Amino acid sequence: MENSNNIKEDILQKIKSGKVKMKPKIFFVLKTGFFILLFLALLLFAVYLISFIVFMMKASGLWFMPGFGLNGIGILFRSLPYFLIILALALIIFSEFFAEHFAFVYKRPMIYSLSAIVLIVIISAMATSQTSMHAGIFQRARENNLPIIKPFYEQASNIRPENMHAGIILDINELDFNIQTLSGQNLRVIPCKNGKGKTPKILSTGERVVIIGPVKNNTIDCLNILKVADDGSLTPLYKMRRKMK
Amino acid sequence: MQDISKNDQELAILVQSGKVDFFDILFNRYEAKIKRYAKKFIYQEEEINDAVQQIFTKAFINIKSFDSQRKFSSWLYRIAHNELVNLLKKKRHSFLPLFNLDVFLPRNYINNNIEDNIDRKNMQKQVEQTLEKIDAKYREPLYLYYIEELDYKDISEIMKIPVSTVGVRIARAKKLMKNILNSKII
Repeated sequence: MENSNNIKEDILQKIKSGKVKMKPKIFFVLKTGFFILLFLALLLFAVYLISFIVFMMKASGLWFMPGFGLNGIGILFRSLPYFLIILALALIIFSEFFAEHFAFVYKRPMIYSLSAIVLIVIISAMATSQTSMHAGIFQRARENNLPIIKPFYEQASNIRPENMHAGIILDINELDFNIQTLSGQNLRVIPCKNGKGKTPKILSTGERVVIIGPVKNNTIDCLNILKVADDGSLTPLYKMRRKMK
Repeated sequence: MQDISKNDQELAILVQSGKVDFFDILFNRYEAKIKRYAKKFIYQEEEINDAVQQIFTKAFINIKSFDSQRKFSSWLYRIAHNELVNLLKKKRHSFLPLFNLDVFLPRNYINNNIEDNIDRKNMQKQVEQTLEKIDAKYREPLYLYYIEELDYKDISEIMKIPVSTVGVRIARAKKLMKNILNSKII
């Protein structure tokens, strides 16, 4: 009883002397606002990062690897940008952590909120990747207009999985053809053996292709080739140089 | 000056408006309960008193965050829960871990209020006898439910876990309790 009185007296004395003060209502309003803003910022960053990963995979050709079957899937898993994927996952987990601040989230099993966040992020990221946002930034980075972002976007042209080459056809001959990769490297392609050593007729200049095959002295010995859809958002370097001239 | 006929929420509103003397009544109403709650997790008298003082000081500092549409008791227990968790983390005891699988997946639980209210009265003595031997993860909801007679929704708010998880943890705690009591009989 004596102890209890001591505690009470001590607290009341601190309150009356002003040593202990109530935090104003605005502090809690701002704190909630800060949590909401931080949650949205993390979500937006996750959307941006995942859409960038998709862009990078499409630009480098990795996205199309499953089209080559098991061999392509193997290359895909060996070459995924794991650091960025882990970073995106960490952002999603942090978003969930901030969402758990709100009663309507923590009162329900975590799987619901986490699934909702993952779904929102993936749908928004896929929608963003359909726009030319990243291609535009990438283009400006290549033109040296974005010094800070440049190294980040350069990763897209630096993904070069072993034996996988993506590029745009520069010219076609009967027995070989030349491509230019995203980083501006020109490579000669010896057509695939299954094409009886001739350039497939379905290919034409300016088309984007992904090729699997070993490279030696800037010449690819094609094992498999895939023509991929090009939305025209990635201007090849040779066209850029022409424009600049 | 001090109107003890007012309920907790009304008193909290008065304190929020600057009539700090009414905090005295809130302290008197909850001091024993909070002390009893703290005793389930820390055992030294001095530490318990420090924790109680800290909990009520934090309650006063943060009283403007209390929403009068909600229960004052849940809000105060939430502060107490946080304080005790932090205290035990500092002491490096294993208290509630950062992530529990039982908050992740949806669970089925039965919350039969009428049966539970009768059950609650019968169980209180057994809970008191076995509580200390039960893991803290299950001890806390068991204590809040049977001894403090809070409902699942309140416990969910205090512990910031899904309502279904509260039900599952209480059911598991009851099983553990039965095992302990059976082993005593044998």
